[in-house]
Amino acid sequence: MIEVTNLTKRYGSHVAVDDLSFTVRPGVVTGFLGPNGAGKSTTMRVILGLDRPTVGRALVNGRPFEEHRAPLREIGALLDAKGTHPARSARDHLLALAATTGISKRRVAEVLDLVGLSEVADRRSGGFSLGMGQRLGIASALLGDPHTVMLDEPVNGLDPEGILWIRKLLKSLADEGRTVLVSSHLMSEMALTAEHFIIVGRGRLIADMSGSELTAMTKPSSVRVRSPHAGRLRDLLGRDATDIVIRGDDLFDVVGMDADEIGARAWSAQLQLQELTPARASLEDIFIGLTEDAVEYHGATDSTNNTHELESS
Amino acid sequence: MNTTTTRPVSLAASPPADDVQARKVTLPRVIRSEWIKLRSVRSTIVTLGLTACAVIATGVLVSMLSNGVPITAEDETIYDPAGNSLFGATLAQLVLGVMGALVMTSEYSTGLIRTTLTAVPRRVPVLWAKVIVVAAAAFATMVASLLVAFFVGQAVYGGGGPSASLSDPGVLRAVLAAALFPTVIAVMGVGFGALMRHTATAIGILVAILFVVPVLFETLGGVWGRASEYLPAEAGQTLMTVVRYSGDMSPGTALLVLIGWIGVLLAAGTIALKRRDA
Repeated sequence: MIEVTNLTKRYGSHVAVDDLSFTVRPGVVTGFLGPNGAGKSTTMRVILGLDRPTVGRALVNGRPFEEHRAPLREIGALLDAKGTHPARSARDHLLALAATTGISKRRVAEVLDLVGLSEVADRRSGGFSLGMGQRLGIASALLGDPHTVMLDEPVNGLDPEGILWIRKLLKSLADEGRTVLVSSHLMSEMALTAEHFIIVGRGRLIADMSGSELTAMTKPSSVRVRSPHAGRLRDLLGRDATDIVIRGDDLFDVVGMDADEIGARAWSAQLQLQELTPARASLEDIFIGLTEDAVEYHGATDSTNNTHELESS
Repeated sequence: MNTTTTRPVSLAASPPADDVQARKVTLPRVIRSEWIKLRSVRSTIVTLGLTACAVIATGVLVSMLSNGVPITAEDETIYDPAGNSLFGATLAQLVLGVMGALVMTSEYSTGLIRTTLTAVPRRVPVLWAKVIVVAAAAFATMVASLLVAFFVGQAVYGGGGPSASLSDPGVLRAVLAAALFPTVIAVMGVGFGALMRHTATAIGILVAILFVVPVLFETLGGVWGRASEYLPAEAGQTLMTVVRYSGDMSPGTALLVLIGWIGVLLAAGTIALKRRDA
């Protein structure tokens, strides 16, 4: 369980996080979404006690993180793949981490095996690819068998097989009753993994809702119909539909009537349908819609906009 | 890539929770962690090894060069066979100081500090553990190499002029002092590292305090000249010298001066580590 309450973090005059409150519950994968610069990483650093909040607080399993006796048991975190010394091997990195809280060598070997790094465990981690670095970061996060797992952009640099692996991993962690918070700036990726969504933009909370609530927002705005009897169908549906937009001789869009209803009416009038497609807004569209006003760094429409990328995520 | 192929297992294959046995974070555990970090970076081990070689080589070389040099009346008081074979300690201070600084600043330059502080969120034990590990490694290296330098050096003297033995007054103290001074500088390196976070800045300040400020103080003279006795480099020399001029600061006072430097620096480093965002 992670509880963030009225969190504000300022760096000089830059407000990275602005009065943010949310709770991350155990048992589900929670996606922490927002455009780059929305304050996701800052929030995660505050949760870990790495950055001090300007206002507000963050609790991990009921307490400020630093008050826990065995912190690695409470939260396992991946902040960025670069959290290692390049001259040190993956195994020694994990052994040093494990030593702080008396975790055994055997557990180190186990997590290395789990993330698939056993064979390269004794090489300098500086030679690792981005994906291997991510795996090492995930190994560090899982080392203490933590109640809460928090990963910042974990799929960065992973190959398709690795992405699939991490999705399964996150789901199994949540199924075991752990709290799982995963940040991403890609809705498409999160849509496949998360069941609950916390969406932020410009450091503020935009949405805190379950996957089904979010999907409800994707209810089709129109239904595309193709039929050799387009004219007769339009007359038939026209009385009850909000609007009908003609797209071609045999093609039109119906607004305000769902596909089931259109299909049933066509069937009872014995009119053949060749296509019946609800035009569903994707989660991606909704995400973009929600965060549109909150994107800190728009694409370069003006050269001065590019010069102040303060934070990568 | 074949080596990163992941088995299609999930955490279901991992052991039940109580098998991991995460225990309370204590200073001894953090020290163990920092020791693993120190020994697992090859450049640290190489640095310590080269320091030992340099200390031995310098000590033996200085002994050989000064052997058989006739002792004139006015030179007699500063003829210091023990001090000569311990000469290498002066060289070691810079190398070990840089190593101390790197132990702290490399955490920041690599991003490792965030991982470290996530494991030890109370933070302060990390600094103390680094100080203890660096001090132990530096002191052990120095004592071992100085003893070798001393015995070989005295064997060089053995034939001709006066030589020293460990049981002579002040000699054992000088050996320990010659090991202690570079250790103090290494710890100061850790302190500057914690304060500055950047390798170049930390090392720059350390070098300035060791080599530039003393010259500056001497040049200014007067009060400044006398104050230079309280700089770590001067206090270190006072501590290490076996044969002293009268009027010099006593070795006890010199030791207190060095402890004072470490105390102030580590107090500042602790506050910086505790207060600032990582």
